[in-house]
Amino acid sequence: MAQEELREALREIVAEIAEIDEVPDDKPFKDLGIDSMMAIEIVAEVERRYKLKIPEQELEQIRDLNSVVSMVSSKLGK
Amino acid sequence: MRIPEGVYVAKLALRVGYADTDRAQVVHHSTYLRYLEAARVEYLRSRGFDFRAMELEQGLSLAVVEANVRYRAGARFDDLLELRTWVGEASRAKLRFDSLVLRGEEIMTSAHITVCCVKIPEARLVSMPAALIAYAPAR
Repeated sequence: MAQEELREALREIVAEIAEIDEVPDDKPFKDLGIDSMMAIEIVAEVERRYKLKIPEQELEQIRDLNSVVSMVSSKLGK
Repeated sequence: MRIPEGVYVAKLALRVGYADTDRAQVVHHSTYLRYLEAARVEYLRSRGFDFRAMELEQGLSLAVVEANVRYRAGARFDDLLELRTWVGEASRAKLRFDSLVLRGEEIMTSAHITVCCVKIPEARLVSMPAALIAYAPAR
């Protein structure tokens, strides 16, 4: 999967869980109304979709879409 | 609301106390939240999960993030109620307990209570322990 394709797929996951239309790349999740429970829901869905394991200590790194893309990319070896 | 087929259901019998009722002589709506909390703890106990140990030894607790309670009929002082509770949904983010409160076979109240897992010292939300996620209903 190309990087841009991955980014759009992750954007869609975030938008669906947060029930929002726009997910800018670098807007902090907290400014989008995404609370810590939604963040864990996003992680759970990403794990399920891409068959990844994201450890507890890495959850705090998730601040915006860019950080999610970066984390998933590195785990997928992209 | 019906109990889904094949789910594990915990039962808890409770006698309505005098202090549980209001001036209209029925159980006060807030009282059901206490009843439902007792039912959740009983659910965990009956499955062999030590909730107290989770708090004391791991510093983790379950915080209610959503409570949806439908009041159908008024229970009264000295009524014997039975709470039937099962897990309707379980994931890394949250656990939803579904409950029916019955007097005999009459449904008095039905409820969905969603909890998340919190690290008590930092008051920080963390992932649900795997042992609890395992209570997710089969799909």
